[in-house]
Amino acid sequence: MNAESGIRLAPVNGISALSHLFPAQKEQHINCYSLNLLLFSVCGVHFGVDAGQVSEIAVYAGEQAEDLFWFHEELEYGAAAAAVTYLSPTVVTIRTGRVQSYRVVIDSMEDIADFSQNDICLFPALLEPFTLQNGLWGILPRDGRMVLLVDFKRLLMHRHPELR
Amino acid sequence: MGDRGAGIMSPSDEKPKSELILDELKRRQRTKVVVDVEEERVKVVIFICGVNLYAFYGRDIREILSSCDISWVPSLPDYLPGLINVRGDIESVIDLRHFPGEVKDEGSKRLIAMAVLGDFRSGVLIDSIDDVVDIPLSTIHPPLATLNGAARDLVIGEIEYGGTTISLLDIGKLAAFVAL
Repeated sequence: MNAESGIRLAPVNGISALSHLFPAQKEQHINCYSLNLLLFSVCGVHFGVDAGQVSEIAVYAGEQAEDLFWFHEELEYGAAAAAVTYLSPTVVTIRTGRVQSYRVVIDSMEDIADFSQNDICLFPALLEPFTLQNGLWGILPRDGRMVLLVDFKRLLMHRHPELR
Repeated sequence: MGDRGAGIMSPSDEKPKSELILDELKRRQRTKVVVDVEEERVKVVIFICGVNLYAFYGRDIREILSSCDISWVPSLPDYLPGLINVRGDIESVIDLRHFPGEVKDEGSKRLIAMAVLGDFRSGVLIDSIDDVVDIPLSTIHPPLATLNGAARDLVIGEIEYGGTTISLLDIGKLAAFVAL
């Protein structure tokens, strides 16, 4: 269990390699929310999810299950979906507050780190109607890249009302 | 002396014909200058999109960005290719070729015109800038009735440029169309 994020690491071979990703230091921000983000990428697009929404992380071992979804399918990669490949697929289990679990296969986990709300930008008004309904709620500019912040609970509500 | 002076002055009560003509010409010149000043002119940005020339009102274009990486965002429609970072501000991008139905050439380097009109602001993907010119407002003609499709919804007028007629696109109409 990671003390800061509350994520339980599944006892799967190789998962201990993820331990170096957890931050050693935590920035303090006064009068400002901070967000513990799990950062990953799928097919070159960078994402961040509130680590508080994730209850478990495990290496994907090739299983198929009704409650297991691939991230690029959940986010409607559209025509780009045909070219999506996962280099190091990882299963994250999302806290839904329900009996039925919601598990999503993500790729290329990079880091889990704290960020200030001041680091987060809104989506331009023109894009927000499209992004919000797919769980994308903010942007974290980082190292010259744009990390898209995804709220798995919003995504779940939009994609799987049956799991709500 | 007084009589002679009165006699000389008498004809000068009537202005010489040359002076009358000169006055009239000057009056006309002043009037012409006033007319020229009152002729309202607008700046237009003429650009290439696909294989055709189009124009925007210059007042709606804040700047032209020559090199900007567009970050693709899942779940957006084809005409919204993604996000750009303009000196720390995250902006959307609209691919204009989607609307007039221009042929897409993904390999070519393109420019982004930053459009700002009221609350609306977005980058607009274009191929290249041809010119920025001031034109009399009176030279903007109503859109051709033969326009159809999405182009008809974006065009606010037609202007003559370089011996050809080009469509003047309205950022306000583009904003409304995209927001639908």
